[in-house]
Amino acid sequence: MNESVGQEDQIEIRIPSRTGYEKVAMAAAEVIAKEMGMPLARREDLSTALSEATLNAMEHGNQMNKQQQVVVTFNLSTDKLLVVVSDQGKGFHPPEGVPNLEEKIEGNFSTWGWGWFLMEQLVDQVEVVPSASGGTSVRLVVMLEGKVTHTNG
Amino acid sequence: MAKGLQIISREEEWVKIIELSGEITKSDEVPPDQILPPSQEIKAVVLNFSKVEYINSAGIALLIRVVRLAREKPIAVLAHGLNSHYEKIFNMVGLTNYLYIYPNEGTALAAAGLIR
Repeated sequence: MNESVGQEDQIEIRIPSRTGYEKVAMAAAEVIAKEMGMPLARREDLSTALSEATLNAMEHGNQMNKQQQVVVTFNLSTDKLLVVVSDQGKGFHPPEGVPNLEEKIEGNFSTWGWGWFLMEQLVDQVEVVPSASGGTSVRLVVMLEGKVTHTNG
Repeated sequence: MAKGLQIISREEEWVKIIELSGEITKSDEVPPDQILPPSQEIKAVVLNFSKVEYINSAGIALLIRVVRLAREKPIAVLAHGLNSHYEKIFNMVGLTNYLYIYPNEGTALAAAGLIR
């Protein structure tokens, strides 16, 4: 870890529920993870997972209510980065199962439903817990020297 | 803040070459039939992703709709210019079973049967 980065620092940003602003969280994650010494591939995985978690909080948590914010908290430690994405809505349940591309294409089903799948594939741990504000928090854990992401293609 | 998706296309014989730029972040931003040509003469499209900066799950949903429409026509969908991160994500989703990735435009066109 870069010596300029505190080993137990916490950084919090608050984002209105407006699509496009998830890039603010992604940019912050890039700076923080780079300062922590995280390799590029890990940072890119985190960026995409955080994008999906933030959009999920805007859409399913806050129902795109621009008066409600998404709170993104980065918790730094020596071996990992914990990112907590919290909405201010009424809570939601993550989807069950894994989306099946063949079914979506051949069966003419909705082509949506990849956000949660990508989060689970790209970071070391994904957990859903109730947030302090009554909504939902998604906890993304990325180890500094973490797993190599897999593909099914 | 959203840059949106820009599309520039040209045709070479039976292949339509489509340069995508900006962000692919909305499943309904561009109708799939705007990306895929109505012409019966076109047998393949080559998507150039080299100027695409950001793709999210809604963008993936749009690309799946493109692939689905291409299979109905049928038109082969080839691609190049993806960075390693998005190529990995396409693999994870399974898109690379339907959208074939090549190192550059030349190899994609050769795969489409077009020798220049």
